[in-house]
Amino acid sequence: MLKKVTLLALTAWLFVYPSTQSQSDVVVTLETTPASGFIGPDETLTHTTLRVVDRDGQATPNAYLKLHLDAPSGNAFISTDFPIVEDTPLFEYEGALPEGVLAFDFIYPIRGTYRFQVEAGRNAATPAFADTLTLTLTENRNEIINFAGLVALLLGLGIVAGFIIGRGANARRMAMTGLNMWLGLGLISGSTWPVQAHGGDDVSDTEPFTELSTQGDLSLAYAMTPGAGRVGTLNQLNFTVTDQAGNPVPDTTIDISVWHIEDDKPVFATTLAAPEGKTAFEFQFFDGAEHEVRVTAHNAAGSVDLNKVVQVEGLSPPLSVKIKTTFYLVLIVLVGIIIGLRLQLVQGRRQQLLPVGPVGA
Amino acid sequence: MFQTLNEYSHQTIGVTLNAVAQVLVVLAVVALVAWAILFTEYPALHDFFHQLRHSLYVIPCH
Repeated sequence: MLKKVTLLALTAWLFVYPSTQSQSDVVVTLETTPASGFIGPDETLTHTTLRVVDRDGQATPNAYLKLHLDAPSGNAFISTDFPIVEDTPLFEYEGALPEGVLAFDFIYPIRGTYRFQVEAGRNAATPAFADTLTLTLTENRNEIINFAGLVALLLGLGIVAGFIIGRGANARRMAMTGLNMWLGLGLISGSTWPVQAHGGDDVSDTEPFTELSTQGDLSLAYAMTPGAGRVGTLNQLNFTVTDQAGNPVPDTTIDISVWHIEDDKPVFATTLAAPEGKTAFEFQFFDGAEHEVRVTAHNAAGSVDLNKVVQVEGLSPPLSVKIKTTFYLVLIVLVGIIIGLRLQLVQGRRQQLLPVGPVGA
Repeated sequence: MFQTLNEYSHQTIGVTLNAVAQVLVVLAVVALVAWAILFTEYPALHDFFHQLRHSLYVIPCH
């Protein structure tokens, strides 16, 4: 009886509150190049396309799109390369799309399932479609191979150590060696060192800034809040193109790319329409290293460029994650030691049980 | 002659007691070295091993 009532209630609820998608006359599709199976986290610059399409599958001109992109959730047992990035927002954009398409190139930082929360409609006043699209990435094959090599190395180290210990090595000498290593490396292995951007640049100035560039009749202003990146959090980036009188220039297109200076590669690039001469989005600099934001704005009046180096503060992984991972590595060595001890024990028994001379001699 | 059971047991107990201490020393050294290479934020070490950290699947960095 209870089951029947529950079923009826659920059916009634579904009837009264149909999903947003079924009511909408537009939907949003997600497409990546390469396909998800060929995307390597922190490696592949992926062309990502979000299309607002009608029921016939045609892109909707001047569609409104609001996008919120979240990084994959963490794993309780094994960390990703960037644990601070796990489950944090990566990108936010809201605006009109002249051709109904939002496209950007992005290096997705970690493995897992990315969540694209989208709202869309034929205009901003009626965002009839709301959904969460997903993109699941697996880890780079090379990283898995490297990890297997590390496990083999640690296991081998453990087996050799176990074998030597089983033969009765000098414990005092081993203890002294360990103590010396503690003294030598202990000083530099503390976790209290400040995390600096790669290359040693200190990230101290986080005040919002506005960078200005003028070429011909056009001026391009790039403002960022906060004024420096911080792994795990979003920065607001605003771009405004004005004429000599300081008025925004309509019908402008703005190309934006974020360049990882140390690795000398782009991590993000997009082209945004600025129908009113300005556009904005929020972006997370997910690697604690210097980046350069490169902007080119162009319209009927000409074009203007701007480059600005942005400092990014890296955050050390949580201590619990470090301890947990170290524990796993030590555990692998311990397994190797046990195997080595067993091998030595078996060999020792064989040798000890051999006859030492002729019986009765 | 074969060793007597008493002789064999005595020798085994002695090795086992020493081995425990030795295993602990090895594990402590492994933990220390692993921590220094893979997790310390000391700039010189961090920068040197940064790429290694990002290529081992389970090693977190920033």
